[in-house]
Amino acid sequence: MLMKYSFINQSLLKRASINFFNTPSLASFSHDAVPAVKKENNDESYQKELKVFQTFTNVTRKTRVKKPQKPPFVKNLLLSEFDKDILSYPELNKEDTKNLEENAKLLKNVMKQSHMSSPSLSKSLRQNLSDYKAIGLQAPNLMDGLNCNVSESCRIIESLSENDLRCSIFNNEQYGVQTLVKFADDKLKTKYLTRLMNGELLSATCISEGPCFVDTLKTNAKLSLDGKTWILNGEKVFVVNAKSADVLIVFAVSKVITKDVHRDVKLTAFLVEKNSPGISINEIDTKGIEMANVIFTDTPIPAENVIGKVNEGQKLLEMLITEQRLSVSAVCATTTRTILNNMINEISRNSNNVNRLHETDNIRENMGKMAISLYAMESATYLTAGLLDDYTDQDVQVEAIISKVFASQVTTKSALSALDLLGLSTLSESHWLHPLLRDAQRFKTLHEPDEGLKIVLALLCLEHAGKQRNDVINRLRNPFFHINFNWRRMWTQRRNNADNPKLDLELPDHLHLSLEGSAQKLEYCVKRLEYIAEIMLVRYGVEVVNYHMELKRLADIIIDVYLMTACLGRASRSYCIGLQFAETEMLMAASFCKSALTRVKYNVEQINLGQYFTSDEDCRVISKKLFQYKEYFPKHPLTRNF
Amino acid sequence: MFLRSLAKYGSFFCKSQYSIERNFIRHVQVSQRKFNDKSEKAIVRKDSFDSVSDKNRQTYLDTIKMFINQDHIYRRGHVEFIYSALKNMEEFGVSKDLEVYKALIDILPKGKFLPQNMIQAEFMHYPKQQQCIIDLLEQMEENGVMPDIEMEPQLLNIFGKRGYPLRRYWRMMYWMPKFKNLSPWPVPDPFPTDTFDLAKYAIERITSVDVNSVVTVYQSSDIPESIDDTWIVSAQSKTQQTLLSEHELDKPIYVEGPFTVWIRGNPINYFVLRGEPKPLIEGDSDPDDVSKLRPSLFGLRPPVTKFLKVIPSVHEQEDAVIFSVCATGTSSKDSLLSWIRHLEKDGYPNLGKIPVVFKLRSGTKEVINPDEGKDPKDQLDDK
Amino acid sequence: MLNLQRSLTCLICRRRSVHTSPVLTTFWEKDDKGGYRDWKKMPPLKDQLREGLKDLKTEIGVWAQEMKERFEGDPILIFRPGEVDVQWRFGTTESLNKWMATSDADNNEGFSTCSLTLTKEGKGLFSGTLDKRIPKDGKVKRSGYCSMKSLRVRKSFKRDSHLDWTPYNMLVMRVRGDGRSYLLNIHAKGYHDLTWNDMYHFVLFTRGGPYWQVARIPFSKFYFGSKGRIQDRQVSVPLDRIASFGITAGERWGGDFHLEIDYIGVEFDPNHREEFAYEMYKTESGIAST
Repeated sequence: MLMKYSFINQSLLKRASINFFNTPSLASFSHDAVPAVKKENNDESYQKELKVFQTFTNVTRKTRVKKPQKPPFVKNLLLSEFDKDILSYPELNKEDTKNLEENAKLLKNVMKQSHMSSPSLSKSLRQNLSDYKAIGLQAPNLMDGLNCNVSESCRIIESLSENDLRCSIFNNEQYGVQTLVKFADDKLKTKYLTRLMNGELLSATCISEGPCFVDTLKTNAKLSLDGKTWILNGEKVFVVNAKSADVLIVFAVSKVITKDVHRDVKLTAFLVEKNSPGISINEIDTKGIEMANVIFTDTPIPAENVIGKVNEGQKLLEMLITEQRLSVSAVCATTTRTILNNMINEISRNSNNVNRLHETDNIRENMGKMAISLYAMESATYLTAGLLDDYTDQDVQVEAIISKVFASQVTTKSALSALDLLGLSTLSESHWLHPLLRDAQRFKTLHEPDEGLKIVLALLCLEHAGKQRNDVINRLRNPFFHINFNWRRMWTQRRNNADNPKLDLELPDHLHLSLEGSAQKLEYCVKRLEYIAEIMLVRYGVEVVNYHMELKRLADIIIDVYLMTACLGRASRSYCIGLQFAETEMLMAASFCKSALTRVKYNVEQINLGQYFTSDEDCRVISKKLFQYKEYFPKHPLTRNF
Repeated sequence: MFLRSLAKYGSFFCKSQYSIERNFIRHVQVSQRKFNDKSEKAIVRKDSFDSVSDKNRQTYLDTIKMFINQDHIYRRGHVEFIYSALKNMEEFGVSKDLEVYKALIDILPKGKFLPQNMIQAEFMHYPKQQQCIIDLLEQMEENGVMPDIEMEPQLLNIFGKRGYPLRRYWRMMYWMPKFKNLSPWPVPDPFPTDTFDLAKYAIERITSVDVNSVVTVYQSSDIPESIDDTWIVSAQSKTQQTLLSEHELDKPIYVEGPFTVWIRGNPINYFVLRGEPKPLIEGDSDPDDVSKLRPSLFGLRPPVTKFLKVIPSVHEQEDAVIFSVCATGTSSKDSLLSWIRHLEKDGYPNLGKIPVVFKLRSGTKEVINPDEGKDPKDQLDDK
Repeated sequence: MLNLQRSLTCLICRRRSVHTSPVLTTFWEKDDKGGYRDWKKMPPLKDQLREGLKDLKTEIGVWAQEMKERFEGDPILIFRPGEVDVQWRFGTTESLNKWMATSDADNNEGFSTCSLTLTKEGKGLFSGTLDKRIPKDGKVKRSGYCSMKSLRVRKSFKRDSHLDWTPYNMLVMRVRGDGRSYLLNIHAKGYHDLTWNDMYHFVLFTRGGPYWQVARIPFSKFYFGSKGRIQDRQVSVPLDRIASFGITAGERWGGDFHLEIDYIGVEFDPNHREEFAYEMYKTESGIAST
């Protein structure tokens, strides 16, 4: 108990004067305040300690009751099982919402201020953040965290992303701090987390080693003979914040299992202090973000610095990565919103009586589309976050990937269309668009490129469908052994085959009646999704893993269906509770469904046609030739043969 | 469509009419016997090329010019002259020169051989001359010389639009461009004359099977013990490097050769560094079982199917695992030894510990041989 | 309509021991070997009869099997892409019996030699020496070829039959060559003498080196020839009447050649939709095909 007390004491001391939750007059707060109170006489210190202790005793633990686990929503769509509860969009309780909005607004203003802009995530900046408890969002109140749930932390991250250092802040928060908050034992938490949370330390997380699979990672850690230290060797690439970081969180191979020809690895997460011997850092030339390759040569790590359990790093990573992906979409939402708002400003500035730029159809089209996409992106993010918050151990792997992929795509697209619309002015390097464009690119590539994620997404869904429908698929793949079944099936599937599926999911009943048309579109898409997923499994069997072109199409369909669901749920809720601008929200949702339907129809048709009637196989042939001749091979159009 | 069906049915009726050109040889034989009275026309130009001392393109063209100037009006014996010119092309080194062929055709008078009526047009007017040009065109084809567009009016002016040489020209212009670039392994243009360049191309061609192959040129003189001073063109890919580094130290590897690869009629000897073939591991995956796709949650790289067995790389063939391929300037055992040493220096220190067996043979045939075991084996034990 | 000129100029190239006068024949083909069959080598009729009767038993067996298959009626219904229907696989000595290797020396037209054997790994090996020397008999203009050809497909009682490759559109060969090019011949001999010499050709390019290569050649690429001459009116291979298949080594450059063959098969590639690769042009009447 004594131990615990002292730990709280220490941590709270430094921020004694500022306590976010218990300071009612937020507006009077001075931003220039030096957060760390270094020299205090004992008396004062005692007073503060006492005060802090009082706060500590006053902390009320938020009680969050989660509902029992539901089957995974998107994965079940492939079986045509639509959980209608999802259509009622999740919400927070009133008090939480109020607090959250206040925090978010405050942070947003703070982040936009000039003293918060700096070339890198410096210590003073971190300490400023820490003053607002903006590091370690999900840490419990006991540790002086905000004790956010996922939705809340997404909201806060949205505000934090107003800063140009959004990538650095985000990586520190969602990888480093989050890992410790969730998986570290008390010792590590005492030693490092508190210092990370008050901005003293900065973390960097080393996962990627370039384009390779998890089971081909090479960085390894070996336990020394006495069992007290691990020896780390290997190289990690494109580590964000690596240069300024004080602690590195490294995922390294601690065990290799070789069975026949398979290599399987067990990962362990380590906390490595950067000043440990044998760490060298090669900086990578980047703008607006610090990235570096980190090389470990015989770096010793004390055994107590293992995060979580030994050999369970992969599990840990899996749990981390879902939330991480989800919060990328929160960052993207802010980025896109900033782009959109700035564009509105710039375009209206450029418009005048003579040249009514903002009334041209081209601008309207682009702005409208951007807004709809942003709307869909937000809807999906908070729907997914809501699922995570409301249900125990909810499987939202796929939902999180969808949010991330869609969000980063929309951000890049918006940035590029801004480039188009704004034209010449964007040529200047100091234009506001450039940092946003660079960040959009980073969200797309760090560390999982969108295309790859899409394939993962489709495969995760197919795996689920494959497990449930294995028997049916097996019989369909061997028609001559199951003739009766196949004949029967031809009859029962006749409407699906004729692209006229029976809409029996009753989705319109769970949405506002004005959305009936859109709900039917969604229902049609769900049915087609089931149909086409089955076709893919029947056609390719286990080999489906290798058909990336088809998998990406399937992923596009799944993304569209989930986003339709999210949009419709959100719009319906807003309209029913009479939110401001709800009418337009309805329009946006309906419009998204319209365009999504066209895309889904197209993709279904393409998959249905198969690789020989689309250009898929041609692409394979041509690409093979390109690598064979090691260059673009066709002769110049002006070449003569004789 | 019409053309196709026409081609289909037309050909059915005309199939008997195929081998025109060969038939013409016969035809000419007939006419030669009938009309060629050798005693009267004594202008045989067969030696006009033999007597030239300095044989090159210029003198060849000069000889043609001389022939034209000699008998400007009648040009007697031009068919014989062209035949003898065709025969001597190789010696003058002009067998691939289109301009020379055109100059030869140009010997024939314009207008004289044009058919004047339907009978002449139908019955191969001036058969001897026509056959001569057909033979010339055939020689062009043999030597891989493609006619150009200028040749068409030339032939048209000599034999008219129904002349057989013109038809042959049209056929050549249809097929030769189509066949010209057919090879998936085109030889470099211009064709290398140096053996080294040729060997380098040959090794590149052999190893084009793996897009990651890297061709390296070593000098055997870089190895101090080497006797020969020659080049070694060696090729290896990353996969082969891994295979070689994974090779068990106690199992021997073989240097085999020379084998021959033909590049446009030039035989290039190459040697192979190989190991014993790996036994195939049989997998028992069920392609229908979709219940265990087990994708990774991480999208660092697009996934591919994991097989229960390793799919052998292109270098792991059923008869050998090929580690590297090389060609050397001398094809001698010493140069091969230098090659091994170079490979050893290039990142395989273990290569010194592996027994290397030299299986060098004189022939390239590998037919079933009862005394196969008696091949000249040579244990390399000086390491 | 065949006009007079065509029939006069059409001399069928045939080898004859004695020429008394120039031969002017029409399109009639006297024998299906184009003059290369040596009747003198045949055993006397009596021996032929005796040998033939010996075969009767096996032939009846073959016939019975044919009948059985006919009633069972178990045709291949699905032609999956990537699956090669192997027509000839080398590996056993029996597999060599379906083939015949000849060279110009066999017909007294040159000095090349060749053989079809098995390698020690059990693959087919077509090898030999191309000799471009021309025998000085005054008749042969060019020389130097070696050829391997599959035996004619037959039904029971040695009746001629055809292979039906209609469902397929690719020829697939797994070979290991020596960098030379070889000519592939698909012989589509029909019933009438007009079609006896119908051949469809294409080139097999080999990479050379110790690696096997799988050559996939679409049938649409094969061009139509007869007696070694490309025909003016091109048609695609009639895949329902394949009589035999052959490979010819006849490069311009002499020397040893070496072609290892694992198998020769056919495949259906749904991505290949070309029916025939050679376009035709309209000409004035009497210009083409004469």
